[in-house]
Amino acid sequence: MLNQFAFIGVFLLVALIFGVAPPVMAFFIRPKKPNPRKSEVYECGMRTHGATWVQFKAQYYVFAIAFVVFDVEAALLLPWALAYHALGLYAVIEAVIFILILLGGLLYLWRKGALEWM
Amino acid sequence: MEFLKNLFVNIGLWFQGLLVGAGLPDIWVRVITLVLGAFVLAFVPLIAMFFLGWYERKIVARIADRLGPNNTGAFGGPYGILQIVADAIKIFTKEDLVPDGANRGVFNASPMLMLAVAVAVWAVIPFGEGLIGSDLNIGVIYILALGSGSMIAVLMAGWGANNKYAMLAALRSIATLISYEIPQVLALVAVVMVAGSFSTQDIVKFQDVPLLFTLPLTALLFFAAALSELGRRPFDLVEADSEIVAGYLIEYSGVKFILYYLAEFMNQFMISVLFATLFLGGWRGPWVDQAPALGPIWLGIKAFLVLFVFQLFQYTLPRLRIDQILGFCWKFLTPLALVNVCVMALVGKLAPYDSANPWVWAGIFLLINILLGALVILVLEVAGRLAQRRKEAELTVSLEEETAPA
Repeated sequence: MLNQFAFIGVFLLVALIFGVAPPVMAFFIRPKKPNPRKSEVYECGMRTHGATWVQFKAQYYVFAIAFVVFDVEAALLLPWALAYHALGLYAVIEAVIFILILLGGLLYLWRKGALEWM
Repeated sequence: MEFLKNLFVNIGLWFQGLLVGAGLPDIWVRVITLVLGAFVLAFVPLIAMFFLGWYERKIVARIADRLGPNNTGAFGGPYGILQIVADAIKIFTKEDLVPDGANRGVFNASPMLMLAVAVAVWAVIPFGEGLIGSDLNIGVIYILALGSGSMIAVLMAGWGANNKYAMLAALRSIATLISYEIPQVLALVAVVMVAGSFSTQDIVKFQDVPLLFTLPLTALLFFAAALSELGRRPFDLVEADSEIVAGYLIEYSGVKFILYYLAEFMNQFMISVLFATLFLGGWRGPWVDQAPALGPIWLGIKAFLVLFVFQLFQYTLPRLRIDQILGFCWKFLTPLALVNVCVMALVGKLAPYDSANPWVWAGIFLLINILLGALVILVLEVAGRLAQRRKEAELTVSLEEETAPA
C-alpha cells in the first residue's frame, strides 16, 4: 500500500508540473506590452467604483452551514457503507434512523425557507 | 500474439527487465518506473484532449447544423482533426494580461491548480486488470477530495482578479458546487455500500452486472450532480454570459484562460470515465479475460458514450436560474439521495448478494428502483398540482379584490 501512495505522491508532483509548464512556456513566447488601458479591470467600459471584494448575501452562509452538516453526515456514512456487508440488519436500521433524522433536519430547513436563494 | 494480448502490462515488464538488465540497483529501477509511469499516465488525458477538442466541436457543429472544423490546410489535417494544434500555437502567442490591483500570486496560481487537479484524478482510474496508476484502497475518497481542490481554484480565481463580476461569479459557482457535492457523495455512498469497497478497481471487479442496472436511480443522481459539478447546461452558471459576462474567467487571457478550458474538458472526460467505471462496468467487456489489452478500449468506448450524452445535454437544453438550480439540488436531489441510500441499504440486507446468479439479485434491485422512481414521480405530480391550485386560488383572490366595489 505504501508503494501505491508513493505513486500518488509522484503523480501529484507530475500533475503540478503539467499545470505550471504551459504558462512558463508561454512566458518565453508571448508578447509583453502592458499599458494602463489594457490592464484596467473589466467593467463595461467604465472604471470600477469602490472596493471589488464585495460583501455577499447572508443567504450564502446558510447554504454553507447546511453543506457542512450534510458533508459531515456523508463522512460518517462512508465508513458505514464500507462495512455494510459485515453489519447486521440492526446496524443498518440504526443508520437508516440516523439518515431519517437528518432528512427531518432538511425538511425543517425547507419549511423555515432557508433553502430559498433570494 | 501473447505479447499483444496484455500489451500495456507487458511493455511495463519489458521496460523493467531492460533496466534490471542494465545493472541498475533495485531501488533505482523502482523509482524510474514510478516516475516514468506517472508521466505516461498524465499524458493519457492530454492526448485524449487532443481528440476530444475536435470531437466536441464536431458534435456542437452538427447540433447547430454547421460543418465544424473541416479545414485541410497547413494545420487542418483531414477533417480538421489538427485544428487544435493551430489553436494551441495561437493561444501560446497571446499576451497575458493581469488586471490592476489583482492579487498576482493567487490570480496566477488558480488555473495551474485547476489543471493539476484535473490531471491528478487519473491516478485511480482503472484501465484494466493490473493496469491502474495506483490501486488505492480509498480511491473514491481520493477523487472526492480532489474535487474540492477545483473549488478552491474557482474561489482563488474570483478573489484574485480584482473584479466584481469575477467575485460574484466565483461565489455563485461555489454555492452550486458545494450544494451538488452532497447528492454526488451520497450517490457514491450507495455504490460503495453495494460494492463493498472504496477501491475503484474492486468496484469494477464487483460488476458482473453493471451497476447501472442494479442502481439506476443512484446513477441518475450521480449524473445530475456531475452535470452541475462540471458546469454543464442546464446547470451552467459559470458561463452565464447574459448575467455575469464570463464568470470568474473574465480577467483571464492567453494561456491561463485556455488552461481553464482544458481543465474543464478534462474534468468532463474524467467524469465520463468515472461514470463508466462506477456504473457501466469500467474496463470489463467481452473477450477481456482472454486479451486484457482490450480493457482500455472498452473503457474508452463506454466513456465516449457517456460523454456524448453530456454533450447532448450541453447543447440542446436551456439554462436554469441560480435559485432553480439550488432548489433542484436541495429540495429534490438531496432528499432523494438520502431516501435512496436508506432504501438500498434495507433492500441489500433483505436480499443479500448472491454471486451464483447476480442477475436475479440485480433484478430485485432494479424492481425496487423502478418502484421508488414511480413513487418520486407520483409525489412530484401531487406537489405540482397542489402548487398550481394554490397559485390559482391566490390569483382569484387578488382578482376579486381588484373588482370588488370600493
